[in-house]
Amino acid sequence: MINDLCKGDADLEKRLKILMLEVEVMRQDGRPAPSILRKHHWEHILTLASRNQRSSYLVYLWKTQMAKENEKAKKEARRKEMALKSEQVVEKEFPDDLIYGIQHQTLFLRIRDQSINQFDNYRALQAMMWGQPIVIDCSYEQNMVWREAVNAAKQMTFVFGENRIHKEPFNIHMCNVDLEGHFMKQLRKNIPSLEEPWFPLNIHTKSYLDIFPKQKLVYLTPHCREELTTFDHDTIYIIGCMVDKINTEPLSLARAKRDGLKMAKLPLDRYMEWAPGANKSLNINHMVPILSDLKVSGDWDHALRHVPRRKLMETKIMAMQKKIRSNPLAKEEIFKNFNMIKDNRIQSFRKKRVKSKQSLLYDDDSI
Amino acid sequence: MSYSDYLKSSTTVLSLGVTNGILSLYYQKAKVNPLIESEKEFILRTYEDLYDKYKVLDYSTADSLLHALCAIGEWKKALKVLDDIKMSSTPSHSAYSTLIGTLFKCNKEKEAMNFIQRSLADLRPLQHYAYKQWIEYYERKYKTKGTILKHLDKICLHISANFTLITKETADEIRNKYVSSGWKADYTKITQDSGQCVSCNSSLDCLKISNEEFKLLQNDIKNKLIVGSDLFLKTSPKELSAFIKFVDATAPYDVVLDALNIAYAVRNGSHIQKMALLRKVVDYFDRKNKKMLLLGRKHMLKWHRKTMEYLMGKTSSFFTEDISQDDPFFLTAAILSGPNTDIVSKDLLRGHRFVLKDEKLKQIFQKWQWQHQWKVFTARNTIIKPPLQFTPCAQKNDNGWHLPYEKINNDEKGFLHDGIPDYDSWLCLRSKVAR
Repeated sequence: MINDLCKGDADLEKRLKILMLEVEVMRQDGRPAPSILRKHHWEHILTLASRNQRSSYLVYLWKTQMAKENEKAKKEARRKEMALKSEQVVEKEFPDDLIYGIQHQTLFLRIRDQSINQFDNYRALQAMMWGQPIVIDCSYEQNMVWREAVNAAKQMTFVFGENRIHKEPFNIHMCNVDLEGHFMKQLRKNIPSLEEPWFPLNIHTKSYLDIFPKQKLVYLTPHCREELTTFDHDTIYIIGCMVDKINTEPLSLARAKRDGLKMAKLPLDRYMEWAPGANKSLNINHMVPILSDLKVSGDWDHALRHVPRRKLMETKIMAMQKKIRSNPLAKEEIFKNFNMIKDNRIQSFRKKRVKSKQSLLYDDDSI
Repeated sequence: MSYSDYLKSSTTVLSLGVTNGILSLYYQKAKVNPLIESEKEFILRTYEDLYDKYKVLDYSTADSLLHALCAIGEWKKALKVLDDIKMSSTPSHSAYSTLIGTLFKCNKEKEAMNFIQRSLADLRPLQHYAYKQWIEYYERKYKTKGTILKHLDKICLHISANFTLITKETADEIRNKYVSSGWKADYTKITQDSGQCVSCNSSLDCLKISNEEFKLLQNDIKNKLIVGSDLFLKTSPKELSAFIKFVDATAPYDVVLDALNIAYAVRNGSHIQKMALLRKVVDYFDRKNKKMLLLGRKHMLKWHRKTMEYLMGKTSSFFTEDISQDDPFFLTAAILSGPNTDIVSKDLLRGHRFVLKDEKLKQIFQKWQWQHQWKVFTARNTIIKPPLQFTPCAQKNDNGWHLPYEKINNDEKGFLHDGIPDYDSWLCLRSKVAR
C-alpha cells in the first residue's frame, strides 16, 4: 500500500510513515482511532496539514466504524430473535382455518419499496417536463473543506428525496458541477444511480447563465437586503449549495454581484422570532421544501415551518425553563452570572453602554 | 514509579504507548528531583532504539522523547528530535520552551537565542520554564549586580518587542531577581485615563509609529482590507475605483467618522435620535476645526433629510452600497489619508486586524488603533472618548520598566473586553537611584 500511495516519492513515504506511527501511538494510548484504515483514508490523511485536523478526522472515522459495528451487532441479535419467533408455529383451532397476517393470507396487495420509488421518480420526471425550474449552484466546492463538501452532498441527497415526494416538485437543475470533486463523489455514493440516463435530476457542468435567460434568474442569498415578499412562479430561483461552517464570507452575494443577478432573501425576521446568535443561513434541504410549500400555498407561516426549531427564540426559552425546573441550582448559577455581569459593569465600565440583558441571558456561552 | 520499573524489567518489548508513558513520567519526575543513573540510561537507550527501529518518529513519541532528553540535558539529541516533529506538525509551546530552557541551562546562549526566534516564528511565545532558565543563566554567568541588570534588560526588551503577555509566575521570577539586584519592583495598576503607574507615578509613554512602519501599513491596507481574496465579497470594482478617486481628491482628513457605528450607539432609537447623535459628534469636531470625512451606507440618505444635508455640508462624505461593507472603507480612508488622521468608531476592529494576517502588521495596526481611535458612547449623556494617551504595552522609561502580566484567576465573567490589556496587572520595575 505504501508504494501504491507514494509512487516512489521518498519525502512522501517518510511523511506517510510518520503518520502511520502517529496513528499507531494513538491506538496504543487508547485515543479513538479506527483499527482499519484503507488506501483512500490514508490519501486523505496525507492532505491534512495539522495534527488537530488529523485527529478529528480519525475520531470521525472511528465513530463511523463503531456505529457500523454496533449496527451489525444489533442486526445479528434481531435476526436470532426472529429465527426463534418463526419457529413457533401458529396453532390452528381447526385444521382448515385461514390465518390472516403477515406471511399468511391478507386482503391487501403488498406494495414494495421499488414500486414506491418508481412512483416518486415518475413524479419527479413529470416535474422535469412541466415543473418550475430551480437551480442549485454547486460552484462553491473550492470554498469548502472536505467535511463540508460531504455534508453538502448529504443535504443534496435530502433535497432530491424530499422534492420528489412533494405534491408539486421542482425541476431541479444542478449547475456548475465539478464532476470529479469530493461533492460529486459523495453524492454518487449516496445515490448510486445518479448518472443513469433516466434519473430524474439535471446535472450541468455549465453555468446557469448559459441555460436560463438572465432576467428570469433570482439568486437567494441571506446576505442581501431585499426581501422576497411573494413567490413568483415565473422566476427561476438559485440556491447556493454550500456549507459555510468555516468560511463565513458572503460568497453567494459576491457571486450574484459578479454575475449581475437580482438577489433576494427570505423574510425570516418578519415571520419568526430568532434566538440571539442563531445563524440565519439555512441548509439547502430546508430551502427547497420552504420554496415548494410556498409555491403551493403562498403562505409564509406554513412554508417557514421547515426552519429548524432550534434556531428560534421559543425553543431557547423553553430549554432555559426546563433547565431551571430540573435543577434548582442552575437557576442560582444563572442569576449569579447575571449579577456578576452587573457588578463588574458598575465597577469598571460604568460609562459603557449596557449590553442587552436578553442577549446575555440567552447567549450560548453564558448559560 | 515502581510500575515503570516493573515494566522495564519485564522481558517483553515495550510498546510505543508504554514507552511514551514512561518517558513523560521521567520528565515530570525530573522537575521535582533529579533522575537516577538507570533512568537516564533508559532515556538514552530508548532514543537509540526508537531511531534504529523507525528512522523517523511521530509527533507524540517525539514530543515525549524531547521532553525526556531535555530533562537529562541532552540538548543536541533534542534538537534532532525537534526537527522530526517539524516534519509532521508544529512543535508545541512546551516543546520549544523546554528546549530553550535546557539550552540556557547548558549555557548555550547562542543556540537558545536562535531557537527563541524560531519559536516566535512558529507563533509559540515562551513559557515560564524558558524565562526562568534564561534569568538563571545570566545570574550564573555574571557576578556583579550591574551586569546582571544589564542583561535582564534584554529579557524585558524581548517581552516588549514581541507584545507578549507574561504569566504571573514569570512576573514573580523577574520581580525577585530585580529586587535582589537592588531595584524596587512592585505590582501596580495603571490609571485608565492618563496611563499613570500607581506605584511610581510616572506615566506610560505613547510609542509613536515610525514612518516606515506606517508606510508598511499604508501599502497593504487597501489590498488586505477591501480586496481580500475576492473583490466582490465586500464591494464591487466600480465602487472601489470611485472610492479611490474620491480619497485622492479629498484627502487628507483630520478625522474619519464611521457614521453607522456612531449612529447605532443609540441602540433602539429612531432615525432622528441617531441623526442627532451624529450631528453632535460632527459639531464636536467642527468646533475643533477638524476636517472630517463621513463614511456610511447609501440607505442613510433616506434618513432625516435636513440633518443629512447639514452633516454633508460640514464634512466630506462617501456612501457605500447597502450590500457593501463600510468598515474596510473608513479604515482604508483613514490610513491612506496619512499618519495624523484619527478615526471615530467604537468597534474593536478585531476582524479587520485579523485579515492583515502578518504578525508585524497586526502589531502596527493595534498601536495605530490605540493612538487614533475615538469612541462614542451614550449612557445618560453622550461621551466622546479620546484615544489613549499612552501605549499599553511593555515599555522602558528613564527609570525602569513597566510590564503587563496575565492575572491568575481571570474568571470575571461579563468582563467587557475593550481591546486593552488589563489595567490592574502590571509590574513596575525601577532603580532606586534616579538616573
